[in-house]
Amino acid sequence: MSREDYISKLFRENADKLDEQPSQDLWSRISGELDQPEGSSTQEDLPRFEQISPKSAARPRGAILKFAPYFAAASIVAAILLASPLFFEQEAAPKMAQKMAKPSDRGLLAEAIKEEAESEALPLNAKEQEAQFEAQEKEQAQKILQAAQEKSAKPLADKDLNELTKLKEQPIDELVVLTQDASPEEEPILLQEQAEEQADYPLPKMRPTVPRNYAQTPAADPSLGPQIEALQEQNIAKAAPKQLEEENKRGLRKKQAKGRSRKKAQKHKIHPRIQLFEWLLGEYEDQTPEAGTSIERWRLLHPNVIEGIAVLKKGDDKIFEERMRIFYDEDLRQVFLDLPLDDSRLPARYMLSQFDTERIIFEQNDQADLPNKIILQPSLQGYTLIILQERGFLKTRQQQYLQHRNRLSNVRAIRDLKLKE
Amino acid sequence: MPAARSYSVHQSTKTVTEEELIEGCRAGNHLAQERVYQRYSAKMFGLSRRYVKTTENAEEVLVQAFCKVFRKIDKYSGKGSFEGWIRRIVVNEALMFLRKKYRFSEHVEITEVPAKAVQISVEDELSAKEILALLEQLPTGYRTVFNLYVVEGYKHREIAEMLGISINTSKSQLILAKKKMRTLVEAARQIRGMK
Repeated sequence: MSREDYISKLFRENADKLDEQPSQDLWSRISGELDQPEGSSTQEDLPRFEQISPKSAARPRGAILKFAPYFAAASIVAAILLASPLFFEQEAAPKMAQKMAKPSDRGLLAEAIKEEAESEALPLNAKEQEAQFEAQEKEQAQKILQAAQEKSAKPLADKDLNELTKLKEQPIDELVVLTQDASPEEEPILLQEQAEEQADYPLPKMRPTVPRNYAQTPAADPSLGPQIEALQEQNIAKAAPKQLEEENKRGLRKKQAKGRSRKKAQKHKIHPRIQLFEWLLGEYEDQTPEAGTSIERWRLLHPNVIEGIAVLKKGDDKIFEERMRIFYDEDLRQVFLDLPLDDSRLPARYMLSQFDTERIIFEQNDQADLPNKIILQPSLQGYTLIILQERGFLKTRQQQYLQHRNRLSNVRAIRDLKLKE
Repeated sequence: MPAARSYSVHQSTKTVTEEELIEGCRAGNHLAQERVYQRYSAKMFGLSRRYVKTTENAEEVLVQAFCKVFRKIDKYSGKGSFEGWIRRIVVNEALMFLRKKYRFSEHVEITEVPAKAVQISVEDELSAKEILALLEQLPTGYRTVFNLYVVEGYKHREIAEMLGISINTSKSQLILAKKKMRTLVEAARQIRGMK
């Protein structure tokens, strides 16, 4: 059939007129689909039901029937094995009964054990204890004496032993005390200038009788204040010509460097771990005729914290407002994202789990009823925030709260925002 | 680092060539994918819209088609046009979508569809609304064959393979589709003449 008839021409020539931009959030959907592993389609949005056709249902049953004889044999063997302990137990029962028939023996034995335990547990008398200790000491002393006599060439006489005891009991005056001959003099603290003159700065000598103390640093001595100031001035005067020369050399570059250093200083204000989100800082917007205008502003609140405030306005009315925070916890050494997910406005906390050039993913595993992932991904015009629940469905209260997002399904909520110029 | 990249994302006005985009997509670059989507989404949405009736369904087809484009980008040899390759994927996805709800092989006979009066503004010119209104009057089988043959330029053998029908069924469906379309256009003309 010809393609050149009137109807064909009419449609072919006007075919391009159907070209039309799809809805704005479609890219977010595609991007969300791409995030999912291949094979899992949008069907994930709906609960899955397995449809079993009669044929497919019959297939596994046939397979089971094929192995039925083996299963039967195996079950018999298992039954025998399970029953055998019961049989042995029954055989042993009469013997046990005989034993149980002699309660007197059991009673006597138990009593004997009890008595023994009680006797061990009872405390000894004080006198008995002392006698025991004395005996032990005597035994030990004898052993030591024997050992000493064996080792020494000449056995020690009682006289020697007495001398030893005397030596031990000498009065404290006769002890040799190692003290300095001269009386201890206070070491004069050297001034900075004197110290400079001397090549080796003498350390204060160690005096055992004097409590050990470190020499005071010159700066710590308030009396040396004027001298230190004078020294500092001297140092500045020495360094000044060099600085002037350098400044003259730079001359023109100085102004340029100033601007740069200001930028650097600003950058340094952000914590290195938060610098990852620096691209997010700014104001974003999204306009939809039905919902209104969404404005989201991300700013640096603290070197460790950036805050995003999202507002939905319809005309002059503020319909919705929420605050999000990305911060670095110094103690835990982790980056977190806090954002509310229901009308209670209590922020749910997510930890930064992974990031690459495409997206930044925060996750939480503590509460199963909360979405488990929050994804931030920069787009051509701005950025997209995706809230994902992969362990079930978003709760009704969460869906109600997230209804202002561009797209909401029962497992994800997506917000597309454009960077405001 | 996203910081550096995002700068280029938001502020760069450099035009990227199709080859660069394809390379980017091959590397799994999210932004290259988005640019490809932006470049072809309108055309492909129009294409999808011609096959499935509602906007929601057309979008569903588009989502699946673009996912396939980015996942199977390695299969694009680079010999033919990239747009043509995407177009084929969109058509295939639309057909797959229709197959879920419609069995092409079972709808050979003409079914009576209550014809709605479509107003055509100028005889040789059709607006998007008019095209859609006319196409919507056709039963799914007719519309599909009509689109594949007239607009996409497939042969009956190819259409038969794609839809799982015989070549003769494809031919007869096209004849019936054109006949129906002519009736609709004439009806529209008559309405215009009356006005």
